[in-house]
Amino acid sequence: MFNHVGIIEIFAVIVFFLSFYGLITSKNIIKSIASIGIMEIAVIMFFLGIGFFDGMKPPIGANLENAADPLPQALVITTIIIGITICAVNLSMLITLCRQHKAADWDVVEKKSSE
Amino acid sequence: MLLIIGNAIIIAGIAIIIIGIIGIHKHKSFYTRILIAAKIDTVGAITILLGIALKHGLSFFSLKTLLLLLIIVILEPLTSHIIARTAYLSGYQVEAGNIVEEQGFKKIES
Amino acid sequence: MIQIFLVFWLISALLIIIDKQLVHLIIHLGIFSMISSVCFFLLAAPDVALAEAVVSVFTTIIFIVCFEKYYSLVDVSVVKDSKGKIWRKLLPIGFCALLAVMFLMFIPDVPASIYLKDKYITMFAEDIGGENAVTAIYLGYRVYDTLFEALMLLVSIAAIIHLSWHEGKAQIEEQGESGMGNYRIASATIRIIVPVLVLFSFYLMVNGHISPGGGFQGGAVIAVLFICRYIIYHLHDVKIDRIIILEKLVFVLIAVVVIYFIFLGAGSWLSLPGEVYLLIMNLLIGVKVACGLLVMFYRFVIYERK
Repeated sequence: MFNHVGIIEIFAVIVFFLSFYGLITSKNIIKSIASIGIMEIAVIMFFLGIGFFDGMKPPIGANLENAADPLPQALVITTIIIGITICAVNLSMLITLCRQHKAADWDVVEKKSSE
Repeated sequence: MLLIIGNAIIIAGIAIIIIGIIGIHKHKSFYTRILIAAKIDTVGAITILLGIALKHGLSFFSLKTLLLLLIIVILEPLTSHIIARTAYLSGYQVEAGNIVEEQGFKKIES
Repeated sequence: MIQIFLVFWLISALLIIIDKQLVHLIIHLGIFSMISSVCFFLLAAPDVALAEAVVSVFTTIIFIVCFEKYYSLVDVSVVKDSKGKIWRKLLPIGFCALLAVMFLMFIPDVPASIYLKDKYITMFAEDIGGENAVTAIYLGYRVYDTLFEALMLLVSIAAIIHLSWHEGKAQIEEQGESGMGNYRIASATIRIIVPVLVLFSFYLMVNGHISPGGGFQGGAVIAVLFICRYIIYHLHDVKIDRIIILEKLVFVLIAVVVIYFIFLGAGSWLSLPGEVYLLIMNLLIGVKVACGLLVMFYRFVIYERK
């Protein structure tokens, strides 16, 4: 059924939806933030795995026969730095929320903010 | 000849790491565990890197491996030591075993 | 080889999602980042692996600061594990599994396009220069991405400064037992290691166009160096305002260099080789990333701690 999809893509998709499950079911906000981080790394793994075959070499050096695709790698390096900034902004928002409501659970925060 | 000696040393390093992992899961006390983990970090990594350096003979690659080895020898004991020292300073008792559960970073009264 | 590491990768992701104790999140995140870095290396992407390995240090430290704050603010014992009905637990699992299967089924059955890959790999050496195709692409063909990434970093720092709580002034804590201010072993060892780290970061930045590495990785290593200095000596003497001003200046410089070299073609008038452009850009991006990560870290630690 999935013969045309490589093993790396299958694992990346599984981890992506696993972290999606964590994002929608976790009670604590910190765990949701960590889930967003995992999701991003799964997307990176999917991008790198698309054109990959066994025995490929890094696209560095003078002899570039049988090199891996350099375009996804170049796109992904910026994504990693953006990911850490997203994580930091999320955590600083979380700390402000903790100071206001003294809680970091979705249910409790929702109840307290509606009062 | 160098190849065979290098491979033998790498296999010895992997054996040390496997024994260490079994030891970590055998003991329950934190300080014993950190002792065994320090063995894996230092002895295992040093033997494997030494084997790799021997395998490649005299070359630029083995010079880089030896530099890495030097940094590992300086840094790895320090990390284990700092973890154990911080645990001691924050009041973790040897007898307490698995006391840290949901208390996070709070101090444990002795 | 890669299949073994992918299985470990899946298990570590599962641990993050399933584990009930929140503190374990820090260790599980570290394991996850480490294994994904190894996987990236095995997928023939050493640049990405290096960036991930350096950045994971930073993630761990930010999470530690956040957890410290969380446990001092929130009363953990109040929260109970509420028991819901069984279908409320099964429904999200089924939904996510369905989405995953649908996603895998709708991946088109054609090989990945290699038109751009062939073009970039054959042309980059004469168009831009250097031997590292990845650096040549993100500094040459797709330089807009890098520019907007730098802008994004600046915007997110503005967001962090706006969001973090300060009540007028920074809360400088005194040197206590928690810091390692007068701890001989750590400070003596760090004195040996700091020159090596500085040399390593400059090696990464200067050699970015012929070997794995570049501005992002070198800048992150410089930021880690300052974090080490803070953790060991507990010094607060860094002026955050000056770092922010430096970062803005470097951003303007990056834009000027890109306009001058790429849009106006200054390399061909001055008959400079392309490596000069790559070297300047790598150094500037390194300073920019280091400033950005440092402002974030000091903002987190000084304004959010205790």
